[in-house]
Amino acid sequence: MIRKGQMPILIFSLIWLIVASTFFIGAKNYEFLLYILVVVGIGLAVLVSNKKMKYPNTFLWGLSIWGLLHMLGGGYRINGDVLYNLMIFPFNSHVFKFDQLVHIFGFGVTTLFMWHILQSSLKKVHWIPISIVVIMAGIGAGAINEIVEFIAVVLVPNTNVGGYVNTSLDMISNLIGACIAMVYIKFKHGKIK
Amino acid sequence: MINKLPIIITNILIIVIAFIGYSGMGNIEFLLYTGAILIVFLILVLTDKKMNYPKTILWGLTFAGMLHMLGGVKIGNDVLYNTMIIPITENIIRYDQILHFVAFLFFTLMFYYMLKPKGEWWIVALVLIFAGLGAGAFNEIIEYIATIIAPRNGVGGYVNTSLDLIADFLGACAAMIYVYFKKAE
Repeated sequence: MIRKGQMPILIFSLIWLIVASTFFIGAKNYEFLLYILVVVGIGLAVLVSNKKMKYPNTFLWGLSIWGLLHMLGGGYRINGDVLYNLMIFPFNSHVFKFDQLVHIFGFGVTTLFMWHILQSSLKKVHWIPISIVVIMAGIGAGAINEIVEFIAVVLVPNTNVGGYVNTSLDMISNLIGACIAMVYIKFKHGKIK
Repeated sequence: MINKLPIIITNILIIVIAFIGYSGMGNIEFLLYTGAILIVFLILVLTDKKMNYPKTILWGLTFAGMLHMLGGVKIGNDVLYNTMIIPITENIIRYDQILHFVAFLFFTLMFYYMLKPKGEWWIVALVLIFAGLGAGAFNEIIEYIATIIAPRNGVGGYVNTSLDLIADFLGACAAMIYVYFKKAE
């Protein structure tokens, strides 16, 4: 289940999961306690499939850091507002927020995952069609996230997600993250033809 | 390429008629979409020699393109896009959602034939369903940009976008179910 060099990733992930769970239980933040359960589910799925899928450590570090950023985004407050809403570079009233940064990072990591699981199925395919499909798969995973958020909005109206502009900017951020990941993949795996 | 001439002619006709029609109506939104269809068409024509897309997929995409271009036609007080086809709820099932289902079903099939992957079924299906849905999300990004350029257009809105994505997802799933049964034959 745990491969070479992956124990520090597991310990790091367990530490922030325990800290975040304790914090959200104390704050009675049920939305983020639900996200903790989702993260635990993903973590277990990764652990169980790790031997077969041979996930690279870069991807696993990315996945863990993404989870941590998500918990910080919802749990850490600055000037009375959650970190997710913090404006990092004020280009306009909606851009560029911590939320968008997390989307770029997270769906960049997801794109690495898509490439990793797909590459063994490919034979002699030019890198342009591969890049198109892998980038689309990365932003497709982001779209699944938006669908889940939409269902959450329908079921629990007071969530901090949803809204047309927010959703559209999230999807643009996912696209940027997926493109950055594909550039990384191309440089790291120069043999893709 | 010559055996795909009817597909090329059909697409050119759709694009030219849509361009003339929407230019006359001064419909900037649908002129933008006509441009998007033209770009997709050109990409497919330029890459067909290398990729050799099956004719079924090209006809499917042509059909989806035609449905898309018809979407801006006025039916009564509203455009065809907003027409309720099977009224399950206030927003479902509209022409728009059926178009999304059909279009991203064929986009997913196109992605499948672009890669012709040979690996485990569930892995290939997972990635390609996400890729098909991703193409749908890319379309929503273009629509979002259209709402900024032409603010009074008929697209956009949170519920509409979310339902479009769900329709894209269902279309992508249907495509991979088709591939599964096609491979089993």
